[in-house]
Amino acid sequence: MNKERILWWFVFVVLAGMLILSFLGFFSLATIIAVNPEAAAFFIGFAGFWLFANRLIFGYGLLANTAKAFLDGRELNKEKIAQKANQPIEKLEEMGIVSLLVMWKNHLEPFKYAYYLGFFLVFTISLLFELNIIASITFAPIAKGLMFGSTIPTVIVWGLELTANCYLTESLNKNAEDR
Amino acid sequence: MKKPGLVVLSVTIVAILLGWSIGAFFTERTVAKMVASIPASPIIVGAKYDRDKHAITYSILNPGGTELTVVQESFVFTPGKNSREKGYIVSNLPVHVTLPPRVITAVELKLKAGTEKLQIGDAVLATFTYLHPLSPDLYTVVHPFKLGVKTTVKASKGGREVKKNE
Repeated sequence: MNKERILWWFVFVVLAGMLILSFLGFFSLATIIAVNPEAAAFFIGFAGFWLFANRLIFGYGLLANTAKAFLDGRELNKEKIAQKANQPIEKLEEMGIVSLLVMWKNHLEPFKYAYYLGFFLVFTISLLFELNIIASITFAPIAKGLMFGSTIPTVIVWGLELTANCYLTESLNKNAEDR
Repeated sequence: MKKPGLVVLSVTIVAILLGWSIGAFFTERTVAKMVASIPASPIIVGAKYDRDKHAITYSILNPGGTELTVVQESFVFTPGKNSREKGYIVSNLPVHVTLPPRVITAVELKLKAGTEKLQIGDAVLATFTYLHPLSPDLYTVVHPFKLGVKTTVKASKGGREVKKNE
Protein backbone atom coordinates (compact mmCIF):
# COMPACT_ATOMS: atom_id res chain seq x y z
CA MET A 1 0.00 0.00 0.00
CA ASN A 2 1.26 3.47 -0.75
CA LYS A 3 1.25 6.45 1.57
CA GLU A 4 -1.95 7.90 0.10
CA ARG A 5 -4.02 4.83 0.90
CA ILE A 6 -2.40 4.33 4.32
CA LEU A 7 -3.28 7.89 5.34
CA TRP A 8 -6.81 7.56 3.94
CA TRP A 9 -7.47 4.37 5.86
CA PHE A 10 -5.97 5.81 9.02
CA VAL A 11 -8.26 8.87 8.96
CA PHE A 12 -11.20 6.68 7.98
CA VAL A 13 -10.67 4.25 10.86
CA VAL A 14 -10.25 7.06 13.41
CA LEU A 15 -13.39 8.87 12.21
CA ALA A 16 -15.50 5.74 11.85
CA GLY A 17 -14.30 4.44 15.21
CA MET A 18 -15.22 7.67 16.92
CA LEU A 19 -18.65 7.84 15.29
CA ILE A 20 -19.50 4.18 15.93
CA LEU A 21 -18.34 4.34 19.56
CA SER A 22 -20.38 7.47 20.24
CA PHE A 23 -23.44 5.97 18.53
CA LEU A 24 -23.09 2.89 20.73
CA GLY A 25 -23.11 5.24 23.72
CA PHE A 26 -19.49 4.72 24.73
CA PHE A 27 -19.83 6.71 27.92
CA SER A 28 -16.75 8.91 28.24
CA LEU A 29 -16.61 9.73 24.53
CA ALA A 30 -20.30 10.69 24.47
CA THR A 31 -19.72 12.87 27.53
CA ILE A 32 -16.76 14.64 25.94
CA ILE A 33 -18.83 15.33 22.83
CA ALA A 34 -21.78 16.58 24.89
CA VAL A 35 -19.56 18.98 26.83
CA ASN A 36 -17.66 20.18 23.77
CA PRO A 37 -19.91 19.76 20.73
CA GLU A 38 -18.14 22.35 18.57
CA ALA A 39 -14.74 20.70 19.10
CA ALA A 40 -16.27 17.36 18.06
CA ALA A 41 -17.84 19.04 15.02
CA PHE A 42 -14.44 20.55 14.21
CA PHE A 43 -12.81 17.12 14.30
CA ILE A 44 -15.58 15.48 12.24
CA GLY A 45 -15.37 18.29 9.66
CA PHE A 46 -11.58 17.94 9.50
CA ALA A 47 -11.46 14.14 9.24
CA GLY A 48 -14.49 13.85 6.96
CA PHE A 49 -13.27 16.45 4.51
CA TRP A 50 -9.76 14.99 4.64
CA LEU A 51 -11.18 11.71 3.32
CA PHE A 52 -12.56 13.55 0.29
CA ALA A 53 -9.49 15.76 -0.08
CA ASN A 54 -6.94 12.93 0.22
CA ARG A 55 -6.97 12.08 -3.49
CA LEU A 56 -6.67 15.74 -4.44
CA ILE A 57 -3.89 16.47 -1.94
CA PHE A 58 -1.77 13.54 -3.12
CA GLY A 59 -2.76 14.09 -6.76
CA TYR A 60 -1.83 17.76 -6.89
CA GLY A 61 1.23 17.24 -4.69
CA LEU A 62 2.61 14.49 -6.94
CA LEU A 63 1.66 16.45 -10.05
CA ALA A 64 3.60 19.48 -8.79
CA ASN A 65 6.61 17.30 -7.93
CA THR A 66 6.55 15.59 -11.33
CA ALA A 67 6.24 18.85 -13.23
CA LYS A 68 9.15 20.29 -11.23
CA ALA A 69 11.23 17.19 -11.97
CA PHE A 70 10.41 17.62 -15.67
CA LEU A 71 11.46 21.29 -15.48
CA ASP A 72 14.75 20.23 -13.87
CA GLY A 73 15.29 17.85 -16.76
CA ARG A 74 15.22 14.61 -14.78
CA GLU A 75 14.29 11.27 -16.35
CA LEU A 76 10.63 10.39 -15.75
CA ASN A 77 8.77 7.11 -15.94
CA LYS A 78 6.07 7.65 -18.57
CA GLU A 79 4.11 4.54 -17.61
CA LYS A 80 3.62 5.69 -14.03
CA ILE A 81 2.35 9.10 -15.15
CA ALA A 82 0.00 7.44 -17.65
CA GLN A 83 -1.35 5.30 -14.84
CA LYS A 84 -1.99 8.39 -12.71
CA ALA A 85 -3.64 10.19 -15.64
CA ASN A 86 -5.90 7.17 -16.20
CA GLN A 87 -4.65 6.72 -19.79
CA PRO A 88 -4.10 3.39 -21.61
CA ILE A 89 -0.43 2.43 -21.95
CA GLU A 90 -0.81 1.66 -25.69
CA LYS A 91 -0.98 5.38 -26.52
CA LEU A 92 2.31 6.17 -24.76
CA GLU A 93 4.41 6.29 -27.94
CA GLU A 94 2.46 9.23 -29.36
CA MET A 95 2.32 11.35 -26.21
CA GLY A 96 4.92 13.55 -24.59
CA ILE A 97 5.34 13.94 -20.83
CA VAL A 98 3.69 17.39 -20.73
CA SER A 99 0.53 16.19 -22.46
CA LEU A 100 0.38 13.32 -19.95
CA LEU A 101 0.72 15.84 -17.12
CA VAL A 102 -2.15 17.91 -18.57
CA MET A 103 -4.28 14.75 -18.80
CA TRP A 104 -3.41 13.97 -15.19
CA LYS A 105 -4.59 17.43 -14.17
CA ASN A 106 -7.81 17.04 -16.18
CA HIS A 107 -8.36 13.67 -14.53
CA LEU A 108 -8.37 15.42 -11.11
CA GLU A 109 -10.74 18.18 -12.24
CA PRO A 110 -14.12 16.50 -11.45
CA PHE A 111 -12.91 15.49 -7.99
CA LYS A 112 -11.83 19.06 -7.37
CA TYR A 113 -15.21 20.47 -8.33
CA ALA A 114 -17.12 17.94 -6.22
CA TYR A 115 -14.85 18.74 -3.28
CA TYR A 116 -15.25 22.50 -3.60
CA LEU A 117 -19.03 22.08 -3.93
CA GLY A 118 -19.12 20.16 -0.65
CA PHE A 119 -17.03 22.80 1.07
CA PHE A 120 -19.20 25.57 -0.39
CA LEU A 121 -22.35 23.96 1.04
CA VAL A 122 -20.84 23.65 4.52
CA PHE A 123 -19.53 27.20 4.31
CA THR A 124 -22.92 28.55 3.19
CA ILE A 125 -24.76 26.79 6.01
CA SER A 126 -22.39 28.21 8.61
CA LEU A 127 -22.75 31.64 6.97
CA LEU A 128 -26.55 31.40 7.28
CA PHE A 129 -26.12 30.82 11.02
CA GLU A 130 -23.44 33.50 11.30
CA LEU A 131 -25.63 36.17 9.67
CA ASN A 132 -28.59 35.10 11.84
CA ILE A 133 -30.67 34.18 8.78
CA ILE A 134 -31.25 30.92 10.64
CA ALA A 135 -31.16 31.85 14.32
CA SER A 136 -30.07 29.13 16.71
CA ILE A 137 -27.84 29.44 19.76
CA THR A 138 -27.26 25.67 19.83
CA PHE A 139 -26.45 24.92 16.20
CA ALA A 140 -24.60 28.08 15.16
CA PRO A 141 -21.29 27.24 16.92
CA ILE A 142 -21.53 23.61 15.79
CA ALA A 143 -21.97 24.63 12.15
CA LYS A 144 -19.08 27.05 12.55
CA GLY A 145 -16.84 24.40 14.10
CA LEU A 146 -17.66 21.99 11.27
CA MET A 147 -16.83 24.69 8.73
CA PHE A 148 -13.49 25.53 10.39
CA GLY A 149 -12.56 21.85 10.48
CA SER A 150 -13.30 21.45 6.78
CA THR A 151 -11.39 24.62 5.91
CA ILE A 152 -7.99 23.12 6.81
CA PRO A 153 -7.93 20.38 4.10
CA THR A 154 -9.52 22.87 1.71
CA VAL A 155 -6.66 25.35 2.15
CA ILE A 156 -4.14 22.51 1.61
CA VAL A 157 -5.94 21.42 -1.57
CA TRP A 158 -6.13 24.99 -2.81
CA GLY A 159 -2.44 25.67 -2.17
CA LEU A 160 -1.29 22.44 -3.82
CA GLU A 161 -3.58 23.08 -6.78
CA LEU A 162 -2.05 26.54 -7.28
CA THR A 163 1.46 25.07 -7.02
CA ALA A 164 0.68 22.28 -9.48
CA ASN A 165 -0.87 24.75 -11.95
CA CYS A 166 2.12 27.02 -11.62
CA TYR A 167 4.66 24.28 -12.43
CA LEU A 168 2.41 22.86 -15.15
CA THR A 169 2.25 26.24 -16.89
CA GLU A 170 6.04 26.49 -16.71
CA SER A 171 6.47 23.00 -18.20
CA LEU A 172 4.07 23.91 -21.02
CA ASN A 173 6.17 27.00 -21.75
CA LYS A 174 9.36 24.94 -21.64
CA ASN A 175 7.83 22.38 -23.99
CA ALA A 176 6.84 25.12 -26.44
CA GLU A 177 10.37 26.55 -26.38
CA ASP A 178 11.94 23.14 -27.01
CA ARG A 179 10.01 22.63 -30.23
CA MET B 1 -0.55 33.04 -10.64
CA LYS B 2 2.66 32.19 -12.42
CA LYS B 3 5.41 32.39 -9.82
CA PRO B 4 5.76 29.87 -6.97
CA GLY B 5 6.69 32.70 -4.62
CA LEU B 6 3.27 34.30 -5.07
CA VAL B 7 1.61 30.96 -4.40
CA VAL B 8 3.55 30.50 -1.17
CA LEU B 9 2.75 34.06 -0.10
CA SER B 10 -1.00 33.86 -0.75
CA VAL B 11 -1.34 30.41 0.84
CA THR B 12 0.62 31.60 3.89
CA ILE B 13 -1.63 34.66 4.31
CA VAL B 14 -4.79 32.55 4.03
CA ALA B 15 -3.37 29.95 6.45
CA ILE B 16 -2.48 32.62 9.03
CA LEU B 17 -5.98 34.15 8.80
CA LEU B 18 -7.53 30.69 9.09
CA GLY B 19 -5.46 29.80 12.16
CA TRP B 20 -6.36 33.13 13.68
CA SER B 21 -10.09 32.59 13.15
CA ILE B 22 -9.97 29.03 14.50
CA GLY B 23 -8.11 30.18 17.62
CA ALA B 24 -10.51 33.08 18.11
CA PHE B 25 -13.50 30.79 17.63
CA PHE B 26 -12.44 28.28 20.27
CA THR B 27 -11.35 31.00 22.73
CA GLU B 28 -14.69 32.74 22.31
CA ARG B 29 -16.63 29.53 22.88
CA THR B 30 -14.65 28.72 26.04
CA VAL B 31 -15.16 32.20 27.49
CA ALA B 32 -18.85 32.24 26.52
CA LYS B 33 -19.41 28.91 28.29
CA MET B 34 -17.58 30.10 31.37
CA VAL B 35 -19.53 33.37 31.55
CA ALA B 36 -22.83 31.58 31.00
CA SER B 37 -22.25 29.47 34.12
CA ILE B 38 -21.66 32.39 36.51
CA PRO B 39 -24.71 33.65 38.42
CA ALA B 40 -24.71 37.37 39.10
CA SER B 41 -26.60 39.49 41.58
CA PRO B 42 -29.49 41.45 40.09
CA ILE B 43 -29.19 45.21 39.69
CA ILE B 44 -32.25 47.41 40.08
CA VAL B 45 -31.85 50.05 37.42
CA GLY B 46 -35.11 51.90 37.90
CA ALA B 47 -38.31 52.13 39.90
CA LYS B 48 -41.57 53.78 38.86
CA TYR B 49 -44.74 54.35 40.87
CA ASP B 50 -47.98 53.55 39.06
CA ARG B 51 -50.71 55.69 40.67
CA ASP B 52 -53.69 53.81 39.13
CA LYS B 53 -52.52 50.34 40.12
CA HIS B 54 -51.06 51.59 43.42
CA ALA B 55 -47.91 49.61 42.70
CA ILE B 56 -44.21 50.22 42.12
CA THR B 57 -42.63 48.68 39.01
CA TYR B 58 -38.94 47.87 39.38
CA SER B 59 -36.68 47.33 36.37
CA ILE B 60 -34.25 44.61 37.39
CA LEU B 61 -31.21 43.76 35.29
CA ASN B 62 -29.71 40.29 35.53
CA PRO B 63 -26.12 40.78 34.27
CA GLY B 64 -25.05 37.15 34.73
CA GLY B 65 -25.38 34.09 32.56
CA THR B 66 -27.83 32.04 34.61
CA GLU B 67 -31.49 32.55 35.39
CA LEU B 68 -32.43 34.03 38.74
CA THR B 69 -35.77 33.57 40.44
CA VAL B 70 -37.33 36.15 42.73
CA VAL B 71 -39.22 34.15 45.34
CA GLN B 72 -40.15 36.73 47.93
CA GLU B 73 -40.85 40.44 48.26
CA SER B 74 -41.12 42.54 51.39
CA PHE B 75 -41.14 46.28 51.93
CA VAL B 76 -41.18 48.98 54.54
CA PHE B 77 -43.36 52.03 53.93
CA THR B 78 -42.19 55.27 55.58
CA PRO B 79 -44.51 58.28 55.19
CA GLY B 80 -43.10 61.66 54.15
CA LYS B 81 -44.20 65.11 55.32
CA ASN B 82 -47.17 65.34 52.93
CA SER B 83 -48.69 61.99 53.79
CA ARG B 84 -51.40 61.28 56.35
CA GLU B 85 -50.77 57.53 56.13
CA LYS B 86 -48.97 55.74 58.95
CA GLY B 87 -45.83 53.73 58.30
CA TYR B 88 -46.24 49.97 57.85
CA ILE B 89 -44.26 46.86 57.01
CA VAL B 90 -45.33 44.11 54.63
CA SER B 91 -43.10 41.06 54.70
CA ASN B 92 -42.74 37.76 52.89
CA LEU B 93 -45.02 38.25 49.88
CA PRO B 94 -44.48 35.04 47.94
CA VAL B 95 -43.88 35.67 44.22
CA HIS B 96 -42.30 33.72 41.42
CA VAL B 97 -40.60 35.89 38.81
CA THR B 98 -37.75 34.54 36.71
CA LEU B 99 -35.09 36.98 35.58
CA PRO B 100 -33.62 35.76 32.27
CA PRO B 101 -29.88 36.33 31.79
CA ARG B 102 -28.63 39.65 30.43
CA VAL B 103 -32.00 41.40 30.09
CA ILE B 104 -33.99 43.87 32.15
CA THR B 105 -37.18 42.44 33.62
CA ALA B 106 -40.01 44.53 35.05
CA VAL B 107 -41.14 43.30 38.47
CA GLU B 108 -44.27 44.78 40.06
CA LEU B 109 -44.59 45.37 43.79
CA LYS B 110 -48.20 45.97 44.90
CA LEU B 111 -48.54 48.30 47.87
CA LYS B 112 -50.94 47.47 50.67
CA ALA B 113 -54.53 47.57 49.45
CA GLY B 114 -56.70 50.29 50.96
CA THR B 115 -53.83 52.57 51.82
CA GLU B 116 -53.53 56.09 50.42
CA LYS B 117 -51.81 56.88 47.16
CA LEU B 118 -48.14 57.74 47.56
CA GLN B 119 -47.31 61.42 48.10
CA ILE B 120 -44.07 63.14 47.22
CA GLY B 121 -41.53 62.37 49.89
CA ASP B 122 -42.92 58.95 50.81
CA ALA B 123 -40.32 56.21 50.95
CA VAL B 124 -40.58 52.50 50.21
CA LEU B 125 -37.68 50.24 51.14
CA ALA B 126 -38.18 47.07 49.12
CA THR B 127 -36.36 43.78 49.70
CA PHE B 128 -36.30 41.12 46.99
CA THR B 129 -35.26 37.60 47.89
CA TYR B 130 -33.91 35.56 45.01
CA LEU B 131 -32.45 32.16 44.22
CA HIS B 132 -29.91 31.04 41.67
CA PRO B 133 -29.70 27.51 40.25
CA LEU B 134 -26.29 26.58 41.69
CA SER B 135 -27.23 26.49 45.39
CA PRO B 136 -30.35 26.41 47.56
CA ASP B 137 -29.28 29.57 49.47
CA LEU B 138 -31.45 32.69 49.57
CA TYR B 139 -30.00 36.07 48.61
CA THR B 140 -31.53 39.49 48.99
CA VAL B 141 -31.27 42.83 47.26
CA VAL B 142 -32.61 45.92 49.04
CA HIS B 143 -33.72 49.00 47.14
CA PRO B 144 -34.71 52.34 48.71
CA PHE B 145 -37.31 54.32 46.77
CA LYS B 146 -38.49 57.84 47.51
CA LEU B 147 -41.28 59.31 45.39
CA GLY B 148 -40.26 62.47 43.57
CA VAL B 149 -36.56 62.02 44.33
CA LYS B 150 -34.25 60.63 41.72
CA THR B 151 -32.00 58.14 43.45
CA THR B 152 -31.51 55.45 40.89
CA VAL B 153 -28.88 55.56 38.23
CA LYS B 154 -30.01 54.93 34.69
CA ALA B 155 -27.51 52.30 33.67
CA SER B 156 -27.39 49.15 31.57
CA LYS B 157 -26.31 49.46 28.00
CA GLY B 158 -28.21 47.42 25.50
CA GLY B 159 -30.46 45.59 27.92
CA ARG B 160 -33.73 44.48 26.39
CA GLU B 161 -36.85 45.43 28.36
CA VAL B 162 -39.14 42.52 29.14
CA LYS B 163 -42.53 43.13 30.71
CA LYS B 164 -43.35 40.60 33.35
CA ASN B 165 -45.84 40.90 36.14
CA GLU B 166 -45.62 38.95 39.32
